[in-house]
Amino acid sequence: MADGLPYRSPKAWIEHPMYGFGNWPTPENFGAHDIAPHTSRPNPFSHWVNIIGKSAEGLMLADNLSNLDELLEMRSCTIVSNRQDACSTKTLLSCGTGILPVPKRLIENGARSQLKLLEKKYDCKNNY
Amino acid sequence: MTAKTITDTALERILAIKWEPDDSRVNSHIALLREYLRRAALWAKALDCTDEWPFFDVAAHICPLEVADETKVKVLKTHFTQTPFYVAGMIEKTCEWFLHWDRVKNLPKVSDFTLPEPYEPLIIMYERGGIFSMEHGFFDFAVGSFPRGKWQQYDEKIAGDWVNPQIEALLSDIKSGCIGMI
Repeated sequence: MADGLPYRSPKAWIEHPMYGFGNWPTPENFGAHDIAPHTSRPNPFSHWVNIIGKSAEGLMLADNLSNLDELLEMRSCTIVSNRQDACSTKTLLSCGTGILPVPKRLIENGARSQLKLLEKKYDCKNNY
Repeated sequence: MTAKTITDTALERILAIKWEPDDSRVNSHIALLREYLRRAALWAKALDCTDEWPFFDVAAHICPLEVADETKVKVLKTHFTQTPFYVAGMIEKTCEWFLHWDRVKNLPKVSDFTLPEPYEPLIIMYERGGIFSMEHGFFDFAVGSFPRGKWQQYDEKIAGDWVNPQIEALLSDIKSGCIGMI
């Protein structure tokens, strides 16, 4: 968790008795994709109750993103807080991508970039 | 009963859908989508168009000249201009293909295939508040996602391996005209 979240949790790949084989996250094993807000839903966090066992009640992302920090604190974990980070924009059906830009302060305040981690780990800044 | 009336019924079913996601029924949404994928695999194999699986216009492959009434299609398209933006793309297309299918499904050259109705699982899923999205080859739902896979995987599913009593009951209700039960 300290190094950020994977797109999907590798531990969530299971043969589910009801859903069949797939990536079925749990409160213990979930990825950035699973908790990113669905901006197409009336409540973009309504899927949290199924995935991380947290009620979506009261969790609403303000249009101007002004409450983003509070939402991040409520999760108290590193979170990819914009679905654009977690999903490709090349979809057959939109899942809410490409709508909300990530404010600079959010990146400074906690969102983790895998690219930065790589730079740190391998010092590959100058090794293109 | 004329084909026109049948198409009207199909159109009315779609127009009655509220397009409000209902995650409390996600279990059936996943099962219904998987059932659609299985049926689409059967049709794709029979029509020799497996390269188009999983989403394609079944009626166009059998009776390309027998399409749903233009006015009805226009009504459908107007309907989708007023729905939330996530009801677009493949959901919209499958609804239109459902109209075409309903126009031709009782023709002998269609019923000769003796295959299950292709779009019924999808339409029931929509009626039950099922909205799916697709990205990176995965179908996403509120509880997770599963890979699309290949048509052969669904074609190989034998009845006993696949049967889901609750979904079978839903599909039977439609077959017997008990639409109000779902």
